[in-house]
Amino acid sequence: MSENRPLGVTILAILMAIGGILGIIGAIQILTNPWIRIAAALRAVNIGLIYFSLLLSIVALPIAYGFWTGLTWSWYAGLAVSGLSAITNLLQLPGGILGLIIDAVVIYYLLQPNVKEWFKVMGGPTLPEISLQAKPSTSEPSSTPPPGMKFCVTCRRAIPSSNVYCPYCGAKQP
Amino acid sequence: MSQVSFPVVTKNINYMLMRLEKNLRSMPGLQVIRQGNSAVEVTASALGGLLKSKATVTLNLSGNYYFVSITSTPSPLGGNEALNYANVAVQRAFSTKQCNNCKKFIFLDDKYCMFCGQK
Repeated sequence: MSENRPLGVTILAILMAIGGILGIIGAIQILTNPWIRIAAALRAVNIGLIYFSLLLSIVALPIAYGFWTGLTWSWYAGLAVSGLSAITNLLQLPGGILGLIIDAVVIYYLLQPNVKEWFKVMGGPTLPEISLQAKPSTSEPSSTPPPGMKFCVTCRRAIPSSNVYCPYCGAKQP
Repeated sequence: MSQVSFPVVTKNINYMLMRLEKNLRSMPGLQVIRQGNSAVEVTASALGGLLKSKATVTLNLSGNYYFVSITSTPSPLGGNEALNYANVAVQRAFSTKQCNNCKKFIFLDDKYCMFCGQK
């Protein structure tokens, strides 16, 4: 399973896990600092933003796990988080331009077919199937049949070359 | 190691392995690799590849029977998903029935007899 994971998803999962852990540690250190409480009381620091970043860091960990293992919900979560981040960065232009570009790249990457396939998202291509039950085609098969096999003259499925009849469609073979 | 046997429907071992591979590939999260001309290796992963179990299905044609042996390596925590999947796939791929008309063995999921064309 892990062998099929796209490299970009692996990188995103690792970055998200590291970011989540560092974010939690950083937020706890800040929140336990007595000077921060004084600064918050003086309204010099927005303590709500620190709690918000702590929440995002906590949320990042299960999403990272979902990315690593290819859980479908994590794809939607990743898109939602990147979308929210992009909107936030858009509101902070021109300062948030770098973050906006990164979010756009992540969203574009998550929408790629091989990435959607990893997350088993509907609409993506299915996993490669062996051509034992290949779709019927009116044209000649583009590839030669495997050794000791032939394609049924009617349904074009691969069958043993010794078969007199096709076991799938019942057509008599020449 | 476990071993089961099935009556020969076709002596084409490549077709037999293709049937097995197709069944295994229809199961989610498995890695399926052909090993030489008579075996298929299946790997099941959990926790992002940290817990892997492996099973190797080997076919041996002898007389009028295929002898199917399955060897497995459990995951570090003792789970053996690969073996479970391999057992199910072997049964689905190689189980046989007899044609009502010519009485020859055909695969359980075949709609038509490959020998006489009987539905």
